[in-house]
Amino acid sequence: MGERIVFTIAAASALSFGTLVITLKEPFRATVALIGTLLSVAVLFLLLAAPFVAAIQVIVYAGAIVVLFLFVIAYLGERPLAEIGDRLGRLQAFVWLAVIGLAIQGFVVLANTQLPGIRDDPREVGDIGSPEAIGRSFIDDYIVVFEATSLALLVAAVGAVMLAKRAVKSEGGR
Amino acid sequence: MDERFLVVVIKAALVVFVVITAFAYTLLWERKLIGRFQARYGPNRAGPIGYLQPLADVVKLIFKEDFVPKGANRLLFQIAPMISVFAAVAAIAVIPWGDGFEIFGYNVEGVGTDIEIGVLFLFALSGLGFYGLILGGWASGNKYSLLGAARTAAQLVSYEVAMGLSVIGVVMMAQSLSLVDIVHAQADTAWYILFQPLGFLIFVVAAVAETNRAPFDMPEAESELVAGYHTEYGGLKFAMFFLAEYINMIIISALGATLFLGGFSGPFLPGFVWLALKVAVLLFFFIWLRATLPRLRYDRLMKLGWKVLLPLATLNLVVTAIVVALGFAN
Repeated sequence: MGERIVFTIAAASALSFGTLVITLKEPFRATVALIGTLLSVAVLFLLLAAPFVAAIQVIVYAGAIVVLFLFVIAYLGERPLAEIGDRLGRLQAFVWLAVIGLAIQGFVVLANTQLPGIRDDPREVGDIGSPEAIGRSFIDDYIVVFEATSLALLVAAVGAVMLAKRAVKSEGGR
Repeated sequence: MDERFLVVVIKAALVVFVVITAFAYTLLWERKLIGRFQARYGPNRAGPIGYLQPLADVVKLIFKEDFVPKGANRLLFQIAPMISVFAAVAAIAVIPWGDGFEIFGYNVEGVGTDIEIGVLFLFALSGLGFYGLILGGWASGNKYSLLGAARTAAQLVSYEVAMGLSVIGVVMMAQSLSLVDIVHAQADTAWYILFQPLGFLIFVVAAVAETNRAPFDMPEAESELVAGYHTEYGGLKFAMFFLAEYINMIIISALGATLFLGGFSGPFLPGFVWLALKVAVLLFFFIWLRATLPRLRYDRLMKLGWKVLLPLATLNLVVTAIVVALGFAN
């Protein structure tokens, strides 16, 4: 019962903060709303018995990445937003049609699904969220994928440094 | 060992009370010590040899006018100090301060809660604590505050990386992220400062930067930024930022003592006395640094973080990983 209550609050706040992220006009406030979404999702992870993922979610996303978002936005200051509303204006009817269509599709799928845990109680999944279980799955089951991902990230990091160096050079720096 | 709900509530209230009192007296201790370092007395008027000074300060701050500047974002301006205090106080929960014991027939554990991911919990909360400073600085609508907030963001994110890497060496040796397990692992072998001297050094330097203390107090450099992110704050809200900063200092000292100095374990005296002694030594070191070293220039601060501490921490991590994997540890 307690779990249901916490889930309802966390899910509702994740959705409402998420809505705020895309509706707020001011980028700084939208980013603050994004923090709210990330924290709510971290609570959902906790409910899924995955404390490690929840902690990493807060440390990496809320604690580092969004701080850098705020940093950049605070430095760039208040700027007028580029208007995209006009282009959408003529097509708005189609947008709403698509939204309604998606909602109907979601309803139909949910009503007919045979997936476990939707209408009956979720099954016990065992230990998948502890630091140890996640570490094991990284070095046992998914080692190739894990290493490939780290290689891709390394390439991206080196590429970013090279691009930044070129940009600094073209401005007459070192 | 199971705990009654009431026991948990009483324990939480007691521990928070102790830490907040410790905050007040850390403040007094710092002012007195800085006074001595500068060949003067420090506060000595309020009460016997100045020991009621914190009380006088708190009363003064509470009765000050509570205001919001005109250009400020009201909501965020009000919330920011609360975020800081919340993150600082919540972090107390995972610091172990003794073995479990029995009192009036109730079992009491010597830690708020022993969670599997204690170390990560602390890092997550310190990550949230940044938002108090950043949002406060931004919401003030003041250029000095904004610059302070921007510096906070850059500095804290940079040093958090080095700090996280320096702690992983300890985690690998103890094979656990739970602070209680780490203390017990040290009681079985020896203090991890002996095995991880480089890690401890990196941890201490990063800890000074994470708590915005001199010589890394760029976010509130008074000679250039007035007071940085809390320029526009006064009265109780300023006191809350202050409280958060000093509790963070105590927490990070307690974390250092737990990870590298054996935590609450020690002979003869009860656990919390040992922890308090170790925390006091680290706090004294923080204060000593402030009295001795001048503030770093901003670009040098960043250079130290990314070009010295990060590679050193990575080296420490790799060496520790190899040693642990080959089975030399334990």
